[in-house]
Amino acid sequence: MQPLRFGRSALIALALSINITASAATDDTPLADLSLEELITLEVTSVAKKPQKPEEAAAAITVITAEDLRRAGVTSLPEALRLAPGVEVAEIDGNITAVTIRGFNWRFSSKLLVLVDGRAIYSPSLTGLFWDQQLVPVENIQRIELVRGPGATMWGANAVNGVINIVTKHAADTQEGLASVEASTHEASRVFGRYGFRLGDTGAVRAYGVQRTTPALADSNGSAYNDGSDAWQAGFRMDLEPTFQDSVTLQGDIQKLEFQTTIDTTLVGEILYAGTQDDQAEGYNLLGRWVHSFSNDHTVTVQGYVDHILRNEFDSEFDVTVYDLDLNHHFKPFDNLDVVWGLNTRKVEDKIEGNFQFEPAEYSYDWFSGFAQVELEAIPERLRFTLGAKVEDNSFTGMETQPSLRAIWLGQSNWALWGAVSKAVRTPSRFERHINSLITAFDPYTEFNQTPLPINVYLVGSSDFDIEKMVAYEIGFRKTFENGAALDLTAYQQDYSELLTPRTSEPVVNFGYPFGPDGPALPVSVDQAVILVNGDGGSISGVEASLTFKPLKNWTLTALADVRDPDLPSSTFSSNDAALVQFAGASPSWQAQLRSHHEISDKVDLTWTVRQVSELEGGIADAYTDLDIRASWQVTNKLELSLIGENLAEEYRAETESGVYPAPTGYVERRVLLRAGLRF
Amino acid sequence: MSLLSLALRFALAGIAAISLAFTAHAQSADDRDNQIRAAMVFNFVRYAEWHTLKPTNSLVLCVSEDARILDELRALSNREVNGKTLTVHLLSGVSEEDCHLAYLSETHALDEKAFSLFQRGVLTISSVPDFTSHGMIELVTIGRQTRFSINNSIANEAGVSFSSRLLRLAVTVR
Repeated sequence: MQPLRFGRSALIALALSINITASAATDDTPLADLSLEELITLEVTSVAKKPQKPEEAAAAITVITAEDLRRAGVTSLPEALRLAPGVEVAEIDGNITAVTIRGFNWRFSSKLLVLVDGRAIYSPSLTGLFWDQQLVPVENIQRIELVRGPGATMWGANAVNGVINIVTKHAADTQEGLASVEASTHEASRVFGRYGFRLGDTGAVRAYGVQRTTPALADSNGSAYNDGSDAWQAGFRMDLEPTFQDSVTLQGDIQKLEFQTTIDTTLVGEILYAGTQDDQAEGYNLLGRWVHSFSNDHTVTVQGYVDHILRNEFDSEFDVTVYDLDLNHHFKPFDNLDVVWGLNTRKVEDKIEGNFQFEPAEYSYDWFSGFAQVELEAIPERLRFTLGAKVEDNSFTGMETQPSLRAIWLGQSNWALWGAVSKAVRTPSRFERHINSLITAFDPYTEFNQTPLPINVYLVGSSDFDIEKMVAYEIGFRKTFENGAALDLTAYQQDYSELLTPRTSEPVVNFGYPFGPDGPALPVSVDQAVILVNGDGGSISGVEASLTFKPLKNWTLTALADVRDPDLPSSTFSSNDAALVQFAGASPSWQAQLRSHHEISDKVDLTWTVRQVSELEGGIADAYTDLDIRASWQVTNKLELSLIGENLAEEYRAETESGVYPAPTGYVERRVLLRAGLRF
Repeated sequence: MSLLSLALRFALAGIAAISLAFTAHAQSADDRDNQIRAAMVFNFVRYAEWHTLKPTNSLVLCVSEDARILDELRALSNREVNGKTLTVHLLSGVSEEDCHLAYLSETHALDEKAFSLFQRGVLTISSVPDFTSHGMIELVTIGRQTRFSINNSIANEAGVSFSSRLLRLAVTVR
C-alpha cells in the first residue's frame, strides 16, 4: 500500500509539472497604470510567499511603503509599525518597546512573528523577540508587510496573532551615498551613513552603519531614571542577477548595544540585581538566498541564514545561535491553480547562565517543517479559494499541524470580500520549559511579606508545558472608490486555549540549624515557586478599519481604528500571586488615528498625526492622546531637512508597564528633533 | 507513518516536481522588461515640467525608429497624463520642435541628435550606458532590475524640471 501511495503522489507531481509549459504567465494590469514606486516593486509576499497584490489577498494585510516612512519621519521600527491599523505599540523604557497585533502586548511580543528579509527574529529560547536589537535603518527599508491574524500556515509556529515582514531595499536602489544626522531634545541622536555601487551589469552592493542614542524615559517626577542606551549596527547587502532567471542575495549585519536597566526595589523588595545596571547586547547575522525563476509564476527559492545574539543583563548571559535552511517552490500547474510549498529546517543552540537559571543551561534543539498551499481560482477574476497547511515538528512538543482555509470574492467595481478560518500554535520556548530561577526575596515584616521569615520567590518552568493553540475566524471587506479613496474593514474572533499562566505553588518552609548542628531545627526561610503552566483559554474579538482619501490633489488623509473585546482569564493579564509576573501583557480596548499628509509645494510637505489609545487592560496605563508633526523641506536635490515634534499633545504619559521585570514605569515626554539627510 | 518517511516523501515529490519543471519554457524575459521600461517613460511625463516649450494640449513623445521598446512606447499613445494627451511619433516623422520628450536608441543617443534636442528643451531619455553624461534620464539595468538615473543640471539648463518625488526615486542624481 505504501509504495502505491507514494507512486500516486509522484504521478500527481508529474502531471502538475507537465502542465507548467501550457500555463502562460498572465498579468492583465497595464504596467503604465502603475506608479514608479510600484514599478520598482510593490508586491506582497507575507500572506502567500509569492508576489501578490495586497488588495487581492484573503487576509488582513497592510503595506507600509518607503514613502509612508519618509512622510511620517520615523526612524525606529516600532514607531514605523504605528502607521498600520491594529498594531499596538507601547514604549516600556528608553530601548524596549512592546509591540503586538490583536492583543497580549508585552515586552517580548510572544505571539507575533517578525521577519527581516525572510529571517525570523523571534527567539525560540525566550518566547519572543528583543525589540531593542532590531536596528534595521528605516532608510534601507523598501516596505513593511503586516498581516493581522495568523500566518502560521506559511510561516509556522508563533505566527499566531500576526506576521510582520520587513523587506529591505534591493541593492540596486541604494547606489551612491546617503548620510542622515538627527539631533533632538532629551539627548537622543542618530547618525546613519550608507554607500552603494554597481557590480558590473548584473549586481549591486551596499554597506551601511547606524549609531543611535536613545534617552531613558522619565520617572513620574520628570527626571530620567537611568542613562538610556547607545547602539550601533553595520551591515551590507549584495544582489547579483547573473542571468535573467537567477538572483542571488547575500546580506549580513553586526551590532552592539550598551544600555542601562533599572530595577525598582520598592515594587518587589530585595532583589538580587537591584538598582541600575550597565548591560550589553550584541549580535550578528548572515543570510544567503538564491531565487531561480522559470517564469513569473514559477520560482524556486533556497535560503539559509545564521543569526546570533548575546545579551548580558541582570547579571545573566543569554547566548542564542539559530541556523535556518529553507526551500520554497511556487508554480502554476493550471491557469486557475497556484501552488506554493516549502520545507524548512532550523537548529537552535543556546546557553543561558547567571541570575536567570535555566535547567539545562545549555541546550540544542531542532525544528523541521513542511507546508503546502494551493490557490484555486474557482471563477476567473472573481472567486478564489486558498487552502493550506503546515506540518511542523519541534523538539518540545513534537508534530503540530496548522491549517487554514481562505476565500476571496473580487467584485466588479473594485471591491473584495474575504473570509478565513485558520489555526495557529505558539510552541513553548526554553523559558517556559526550563527556567528555574530565584527572582526575588522579601524580607520579613515588609510591605510584601508580613511573616517573620524571609520569602524567596522562584520562577519555575514546566517540563510538560504545551503549545498555546488559537483558531481564528476572520472576515474582511475592501473597496477602492472612483475618487481613489480606499476602505478596508476586518472583523475577527480568535479563540485561544491553554494560555501561558503563572500559578503560585504551596510555599515550602526551609529549616536550618541556627544554633549549630546540635541545636534545634528551626524554620529559617520560605520558598515560594511561581510555576508556568498552560492555563485557561479565552477569546478576543475585534474590528479593524482603515480609510484613505484625498480631499485635495496634494492632500492625503488616512484614518485608522481598531476595537478589541477580550474575554480572557484575568490571570493572564497580571498575576496577583506574583507581582513580578505579567506574561500576557496588556492591550488597549480601542485605538484611533488620523494622519494627514499635505504636499504644500514640490519641496515642502507637512505630516501630522493625532492618535488616541484607550486605557490598558487592568488599568495598567491611562488613555492618552498623541500628536506628532513633521515638516520637511527638500532644500536641494541632495539635501532634505525635517523638523519633527513628537508626543506634543501631553507633557508626558506612560504607555505601558515594564512587565516581567520590576522596572519603574517609564514616561514618554515631548520631543523635538531636527534631521538632515544628504545624498552624495 | 514516521516523521522521517513523511519528510522523505515530501522531499522526493518536491524534487520530482522541480526537476520536471526545468523542462518548462521560461517566459520571454525581454517582453516584460520592455513593458516596464515603457511604463517608466510614461511615468516620467507625470513628474516633468517643460518651461521653454509652448503650452499645448498634447505631449509628444518622439522615438528613434530602431528603439527596442518602440512597440511598447507606441502602445502608450492617446493615454491621458496630467490632463494632456500623449502622442507617440517616430523621431524621423516629426519636426524636432514638436517633441516634448524623446526616447533615443544608440543611433541617436550618442550623436548630435541628442544635443540638438537638448538645445530645444526636449526631455531626452535613453537606455544607452552613461547617457546621463549628456542626456537627462537614463534607464539603467542592473541584473533583472530596471531603474533610472537623472542628470538634473542638464535638464534644468534645457528648461526641464523634475519633481522631488522623481528625483528621490532615481538611483543616481547629478
